[in-house]
Amino acid sequence: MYKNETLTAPLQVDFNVTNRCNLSCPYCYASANERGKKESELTLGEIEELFDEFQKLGVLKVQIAGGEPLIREDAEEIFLLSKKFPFATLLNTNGTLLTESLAKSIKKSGIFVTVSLEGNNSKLHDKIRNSPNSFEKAIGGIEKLKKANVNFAVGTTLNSLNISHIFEMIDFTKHLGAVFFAIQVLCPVGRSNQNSRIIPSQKDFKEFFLRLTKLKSEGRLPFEVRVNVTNESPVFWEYYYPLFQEKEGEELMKIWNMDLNIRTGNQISCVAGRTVCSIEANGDVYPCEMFLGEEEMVVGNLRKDSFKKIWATSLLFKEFRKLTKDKINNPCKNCPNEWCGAGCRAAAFSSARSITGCDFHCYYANQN
Amino acid sequence: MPIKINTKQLKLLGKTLVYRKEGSSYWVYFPQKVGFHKFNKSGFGILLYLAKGMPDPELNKKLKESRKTQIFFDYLLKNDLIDRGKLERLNLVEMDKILIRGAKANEAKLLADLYKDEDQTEYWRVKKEAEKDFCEVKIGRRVAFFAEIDGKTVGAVQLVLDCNHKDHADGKNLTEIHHVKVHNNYLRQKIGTQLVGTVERLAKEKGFKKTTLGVDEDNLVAQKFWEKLGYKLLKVELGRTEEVKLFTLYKNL
Repeated sequence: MYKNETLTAPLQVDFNVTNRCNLSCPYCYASANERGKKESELTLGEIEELFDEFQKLGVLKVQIAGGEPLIREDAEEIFLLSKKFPFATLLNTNGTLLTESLAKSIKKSGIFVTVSLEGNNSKLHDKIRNSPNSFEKAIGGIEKLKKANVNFAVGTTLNSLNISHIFEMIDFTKHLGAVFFAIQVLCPVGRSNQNSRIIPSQKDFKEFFLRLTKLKSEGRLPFEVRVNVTNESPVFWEYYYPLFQEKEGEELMKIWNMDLNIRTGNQISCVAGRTVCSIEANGDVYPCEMFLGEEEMVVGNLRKDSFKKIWATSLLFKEFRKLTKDKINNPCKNCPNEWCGAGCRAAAFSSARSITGCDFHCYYANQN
Repeated sequence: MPIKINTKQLKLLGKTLVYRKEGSSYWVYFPQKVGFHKFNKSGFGILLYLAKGMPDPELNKKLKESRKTQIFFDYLLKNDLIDRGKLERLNLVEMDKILIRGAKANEAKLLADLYKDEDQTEYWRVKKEAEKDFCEVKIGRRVAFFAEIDGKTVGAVQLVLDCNHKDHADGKNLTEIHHVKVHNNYLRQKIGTQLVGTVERLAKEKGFKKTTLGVDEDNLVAQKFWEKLGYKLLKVELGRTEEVKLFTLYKNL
C-alpha cells in the first residue's frame, strides 16, 4: 500500500550554496548564471549552524548544488565541514572548476559527486551548455577526481539535443570510470520553460525509453543506468507511458521495479514539504528545488527563523501537506490511472501558477 | 547537558548507512541508492544484527526459517540494498538449487528455447546454429551442459574438444568454451560461473592445458565476466562484421 507521509523533519535537503554559475545552460531549473548575488549567500558560519540543526533534527541526506557550488571561494571549507556531520553529503557539479586540491578535500570529506555531462564529445556538450571548452574542462575535472580516488557518477539532463546520443554516452561514461550513469528527465520549470524546444518530444522519449528498457532487460547495458524522473509517483508515467502499448509492457515495467497494482487512493505523491525541502543560497526555504526562483513559493528565510520552526509552522508547507488528489484540477482529478500520484507540483505551478494545477507534461493529461 | 543528535550512522557490510527514528519506525538512507527506506522495529533490528558482523549460528538458523524474515530479505534484495552473495555466505537465505547436467545430442531445442522470450531473429539464428552444434555433440567432438532450476532449463554451455580451427581447439592441449547462455530472468545468480566451472573441470580431467573462447569486441558485459574468471586476451581477429572485432581469450588450466 502506498503511503505518502509527513515527517517531523525532512529526510533530504537540497542545498544550493550559491546561485552563481560560470555557465548558463538553456534548461537550468535554477535559472543560474554569472550574475547571481554573492553578498547575500549564507556564510560558512551560517552553514555550520544549519548543518548542526540538520543533525539534531535527523536529516539523512544533504545534496549540495547550485548554481555551481565550486564557484564559492570557501567550497573546500564547506566540504570539510560536512565531514563533521553524520548525514550523507552529495555534490552536484559541472566539473569545470575542479582543482586537485578541491578533489582532495572531496575525497577527505567522503562526499559522493555527480558530474553533469551533456554529451560524449565537445561539439555536442559545448553546444548544449552554450559554452566553448566546457567539455574539455569537465573531463579535466573528472580526471582530477579519479586521481584523488573519488567515487563519482555522471549525470545528464535528457534534452532534445542529446536524446539521440544517450547510448554513446553510456559507453563513454563507463570508460570514464563512473560508478553509474544518471539520466535526469527534464522538468519544465525555470529556464527550460522559456526554451521549450529543449524538451524532448513525446515520440523521441518513447523510442529512447523503450530501447533503454529492452537493453536493460537483456543485460546489455555496460553498467548501471538510472533514470530520475521529475516527480515521486510510485509508478511514473514517464516510465509507464512508453511501455504500456507494448505487448510485454507489464513485464518491462518490472525492469524498473514498478508495480502497476499499486493504488495511491486520494493521496498525491509529491514529497515537497513532507520529506524533502530545498534551501536557496540566500537562506530562502522552498518546498522543493524545482520551485527555485518562484517568489510566492518561499516558505521562509533562515536569517529570520530557525529551520526547525520553518519546517514545523510554515503555512505554505501546511498547504502542501494537505493537498489531496481531489483538490488537483482536471484532468488529474478524474484520471483513471490509480497508480499515479498527480505528477510534479512544480511543473504544474510553472504552467498553471497554482500548486493545484495539472502537470501538463504528462502524456495522459495531454491526450484529453 | 549533551546535545541530542538524531541523524545516526550505521556500518552495514562495508557501507555507511544513515538513519533516524521517527515514531516507531526507522528511516534509512542507503548511500548511492535512490530514495529512502522505512523499516519497522523488527526489520531495523535485523539490519542492526547484520551490521554487528558477528553472526550467531543459532539466530541465523531462526532468521533463515522465519517466513517474515525471508520476505524482509526479499525486499532488500529486490531493491538492491544488499548483496545476495553476502546473505548466502552468512547462510541467511537458501541458495537456489542449480543442477548442472550433461546434454543429450537430441536436445538442441532446449538451447534455442533459452532465447524464446528475446528478439525473434536471434531466436531463429540460434535455433539453426544449435542444431549444427548438437550434431558435433553426437559425434563426440564437443560436449554440452544445461543448468536447471526446478526442472526448468535456465542456462547452457558447450566445450569444443576438437574443431577445424586448431588454434582454438585441437583435441589435445587446447579446448574452446562455446556459447555460454543464461536465460534473462536468471541473470546475476552465478549460473554462468557454475556452468563455466563445470566445463573447466572437465577439460582439466581430460588433460587439456588451456581453454580458449571468443568474445565480441562490443560485448562489454561478457568481457567483464571472463575477466573476473581469470581469462586473458590472446589475440584480436576479424569478427562477424567489419566494425566489431573478435577477441580470443584464454586461461591456463
